[in-house]
Amino acid sequence: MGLLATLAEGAATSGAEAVLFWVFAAIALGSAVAVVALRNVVHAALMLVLNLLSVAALYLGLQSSFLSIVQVIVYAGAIVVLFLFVIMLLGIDRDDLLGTRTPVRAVAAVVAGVALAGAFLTVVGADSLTAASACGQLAGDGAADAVTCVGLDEASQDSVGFVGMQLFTRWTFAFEAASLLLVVATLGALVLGRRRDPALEDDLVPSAPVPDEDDLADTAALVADDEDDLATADVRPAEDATATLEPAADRDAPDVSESDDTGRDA
Amino acid sequence: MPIGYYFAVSALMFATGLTGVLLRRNAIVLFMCVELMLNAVNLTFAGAARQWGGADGQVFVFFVIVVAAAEVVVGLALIVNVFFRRGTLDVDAPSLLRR
Amino acid sequence: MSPQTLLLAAETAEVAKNEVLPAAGTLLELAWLIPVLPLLGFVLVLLLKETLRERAAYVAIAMAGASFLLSVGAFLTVAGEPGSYLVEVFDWIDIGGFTVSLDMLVDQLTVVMLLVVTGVGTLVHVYSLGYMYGDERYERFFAYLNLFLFSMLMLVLGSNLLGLFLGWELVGLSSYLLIGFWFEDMENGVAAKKAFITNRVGDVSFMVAMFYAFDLFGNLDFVGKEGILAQAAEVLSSDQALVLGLLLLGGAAAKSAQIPLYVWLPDAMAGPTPVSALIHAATMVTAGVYLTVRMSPVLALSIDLMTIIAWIGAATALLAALIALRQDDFKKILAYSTVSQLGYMFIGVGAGGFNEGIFHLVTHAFFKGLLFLAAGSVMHAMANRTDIWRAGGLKAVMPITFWTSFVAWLAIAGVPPFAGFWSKDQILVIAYEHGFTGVWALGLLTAVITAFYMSRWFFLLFLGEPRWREGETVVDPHGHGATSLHPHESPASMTAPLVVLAVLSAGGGLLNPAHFTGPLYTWLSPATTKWPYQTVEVNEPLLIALSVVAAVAGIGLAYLAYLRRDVSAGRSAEVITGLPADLLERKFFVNELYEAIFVRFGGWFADRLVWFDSTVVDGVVNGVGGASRRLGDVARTAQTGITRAYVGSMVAGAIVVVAVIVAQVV
Repeated sequence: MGLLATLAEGAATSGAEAVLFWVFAAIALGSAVAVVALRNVVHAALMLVLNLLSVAALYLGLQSSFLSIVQVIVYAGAIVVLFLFVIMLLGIDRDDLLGTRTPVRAVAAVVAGVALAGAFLTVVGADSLTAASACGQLAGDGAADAVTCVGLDEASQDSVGFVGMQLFTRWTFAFEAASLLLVVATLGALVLGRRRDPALEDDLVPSAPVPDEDDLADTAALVADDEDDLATADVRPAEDATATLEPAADRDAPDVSESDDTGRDA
Repeated sequence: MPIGYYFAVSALMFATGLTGVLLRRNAIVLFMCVELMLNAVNLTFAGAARQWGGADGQVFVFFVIVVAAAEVVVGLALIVNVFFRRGTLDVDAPSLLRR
Repeated sequence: MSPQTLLLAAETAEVAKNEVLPAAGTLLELAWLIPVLPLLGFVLVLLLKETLRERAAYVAIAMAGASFLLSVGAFLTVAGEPGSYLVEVFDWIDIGGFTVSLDMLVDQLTVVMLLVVTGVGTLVHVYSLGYMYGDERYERFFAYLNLFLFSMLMLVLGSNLLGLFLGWELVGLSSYLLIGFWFEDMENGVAAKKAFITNRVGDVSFMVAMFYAFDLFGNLDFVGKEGILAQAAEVLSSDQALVLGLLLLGGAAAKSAQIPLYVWLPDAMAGPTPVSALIHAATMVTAGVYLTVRMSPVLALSIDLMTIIAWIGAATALLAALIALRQDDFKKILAYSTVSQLGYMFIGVGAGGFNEGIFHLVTHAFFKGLLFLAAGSVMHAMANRTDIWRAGGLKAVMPITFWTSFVAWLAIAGVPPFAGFWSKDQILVIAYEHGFTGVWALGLLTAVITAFYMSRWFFLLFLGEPRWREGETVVDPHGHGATSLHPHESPASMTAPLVVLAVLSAGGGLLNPAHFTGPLYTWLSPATTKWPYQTVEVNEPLLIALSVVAAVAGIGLAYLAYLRRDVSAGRSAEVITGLPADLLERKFFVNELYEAIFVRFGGWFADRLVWFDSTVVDGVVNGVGGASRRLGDVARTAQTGITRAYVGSMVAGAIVVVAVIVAQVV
């Protein structure tokens, strides 16, 4: 910790912060684009790790060493591992669902993203790009409306202790609520993750829900849909498996699939 | 570094993540894009915390991370569940709401 | 009318006015129970109808009786220390500065009304025990009777105009239920509707009167420093009093069946006879009289208004008496006679004899209640046949009914010393004394006619040869098809109330046997207003003699027409008198006139409204509906069911919001 704190302080008070920022900002944005663009899901997940780590580095530049540590441990260490675990579990290491069904939508999505970025940047504005910390300036003037910089020193010197104090004094209730949320989430995941396999659970859950006709028809319709849209896709193991699972569905409810097709693509 | 740069990076990351949400159909990738957006927001919080010298921004990021962890746990469980039920990760597949 | 001037305050003999006293610490703390007990009875009987069965009647009677006993208690309390007692119950409406309480006002006037309503009401309850026996909705009838009693008591006890109006409306509802009690018969339902709607016309007038009163006084309370009655003389000009009084009169005329709104009452005879006795003799129809007497400080401010009321009363009395001359249905005769007698009460009120009006109200409740119950007893004996020409000679078979009817007949005809003589005579004297000579003359003429048609009623029913045969086959309109006729005296539960009322009808005059000094007059004076205008010298013994002559003349003429001669000759004499007789038989074509004006025109107007409604209004409504649906069809396409499409629209919205913010800042 001491090292990190020193590093953070150094970054803040010298040109080192600028270096830190430009390097890791570039990495963060590049890896973010990679997450969106890469077809291979595992690669995307790895790019996400890269992104999260570079954000952790940016936290250091922001004198938030505690956040930086938490970011690495929780995000990179736990969450992304969970992602990878699920990807491996489901055996879908290749993303066969890249992109939207129609090119128009892809263009629209990108346009929307760019427009939003533009809008945000407009708000951030040119002024703030040159503004120094409000804390140092205003407080130094001793003006009546000066922004107090309570905790900044502590935050940079002893980030863990400071945030810890805050968490267990002012934010105790929120902290307890968060812990409760984690417990509930764990239980929820437990319930949701149970595999609904009639063959395995026959004696445990006698009336395990079986997908009804409509669901099957819907899935089948999607399969047919995808075949049209993504004819160029090279390998599609998951979809093929699905298609073979419900071969009879098409016969049962052709009307539904018809209307679904026209409705969705209209 | 002036705070505006951090905000700019945050904005771009958020927009990138959002584009991913709009673009990708794979539920897992979509989820990862949501994480990107969350991180962008976290960066803004941390930047603001330094700019105005408050600790609340950092505490808030901490809670966002906690909630994100919980969300990922439940979300991934849902994805697994849906995949077992429907055999696909296409988020456009469950369109029952339409009827 | 000779112009009259308002006397100076010093010239009127001052009667000590009521002080407002708190009810706390007296028996009147329980006054709220007086209306609540019948309400409880109503609820109990309706809820436990299946369990109670015929015992329901006793529950209802017990509630009415307890209410009567409490009223006696109220009477004793007020007698002990006279004053206006304000019984606080609860605030009904409390909006900022406007408060309407459901408090109860108990003063001398209220107590008289309470005793009449609960007393006669209880007797009618007891009577119904026998009369309604065997009816398929026996329990329901008693529930309705209790509800009616509750409504009427709320009306009487209301401490402000709105509280009174609450009871007023409830009376309208419960009378509707009772009149249309045998609703299987279309006619009865129509009669009930007619009563209800006609009363609604008056209610509207009453409501407007309340608005106006609130505008003038700022509150609707009767008593108290700010109350209407205390403030009337200072606040109101004569013209304002006239307008307010006319509006109130509109309400009173509907409830008390005065011209032009009397048409509902004769038709309301469709209800069971105890209902007629309760509603049309003792309670509902007296509500209008009660209202005018209660508001007497307001009414007395305008001599024009008083004149109008007196003339309306006189005209109603005469018109209804004339119609009663030629009715063949013995219940209808009583109905028109009720309208006529109510006319007398309005003469009393209009002529400034508020106490006399109430006195007649009380005696009328006795003898008219008795007449109706006797008529019911006859119907009971005659398988519900009400044709007066097919009765006669019933004296022999129903002695109790005969003798009690005899008393009632003398009372209503105005023969001394029976009750009706005193009250009617005092109204005529007061009309003369206060300068309403024309009204007095009409009243006297009406007295002759009253004596005549009531004698006709009595002679044709009870005396002479029977015009029916024992064992004759008749169709009972309320029974089950044809039955054979076996006239008999009614059971004790029916004759007992007859006897009680007969005693009261005979001795009711004792309440106020002397003009201006009688007990009832003295009792009521603190609660009513004294005539503030000039009076005329009056030779009272002469007027009394004239009244007696009128009564005897009427009876004598009827004797000549119906008893001395053969009845059929009497009847044929009625038939050949030509147009006037037709006029009477058709009730002066008032119903036809109303039909032409209101029903036909109303129907035509309603047709136009229906057209407007079905094309314009419905068109707009359907158009809006159709447009919404078409719009919905369009909007539905936005619901693609694709989650990411929704995300996209969120983003678009976010961009727009940001753009707007940026545009505003820059």
